[in-house]
Amino acid sequence: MKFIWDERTESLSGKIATIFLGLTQVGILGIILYRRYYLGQPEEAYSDLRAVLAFSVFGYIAARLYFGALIPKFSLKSLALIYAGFVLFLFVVLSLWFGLPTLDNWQNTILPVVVGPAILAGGFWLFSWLGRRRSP
Amino acid sequence: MKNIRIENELKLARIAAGMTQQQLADLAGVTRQTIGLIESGDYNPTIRLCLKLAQITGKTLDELFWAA
Repeated sequence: MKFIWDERTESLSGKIATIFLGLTQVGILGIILYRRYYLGQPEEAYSDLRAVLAFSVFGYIAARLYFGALIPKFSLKSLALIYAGFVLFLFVVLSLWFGLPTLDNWQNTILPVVVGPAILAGGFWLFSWLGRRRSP
Repeated sequence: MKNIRIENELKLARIAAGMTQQQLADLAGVTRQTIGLIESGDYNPTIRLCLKLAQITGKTLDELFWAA
């Protein structure tokens, strides 16, 4: 049987792949939450799943930004505001959950809250910029 | 975005050219199902495919996709 890949099958395959990618990501997230909060497993027990999920989600967003596939591109100013808001949100939520961070343990408390969102915002801006260069 | 159903004359043009759906599909490099769906108005082809179909059937784009 000859396999033919035309514009309709390509478009249909893309839609089907997107739906099942979403379902897979939600499924993996569900498994991680179940193992973390219901079974009470340590982080090492599901770190592989977490890495796969992070790769899948961030890879998907980065690819959509790069190929200009309908993810809004923010200006540097908007991105800086989103970053500040994200850091503030994390700081408030984590402070309420674990208490105020102490300076002697700043590598495990303050640093991830400041650097984590910066890496996300930086990556977002980088792929937006690469996407704009590719198709202005 | 919801697909708009587009009536067209592809089926008549294909029959007039003495071709089956499979023959037209082979010439256009698409599946037979794609031709069937275009003929029934359930799939909106790209302009590239429209041009190819017009070329194969010896019709203009207007004759195939506008007159209906």
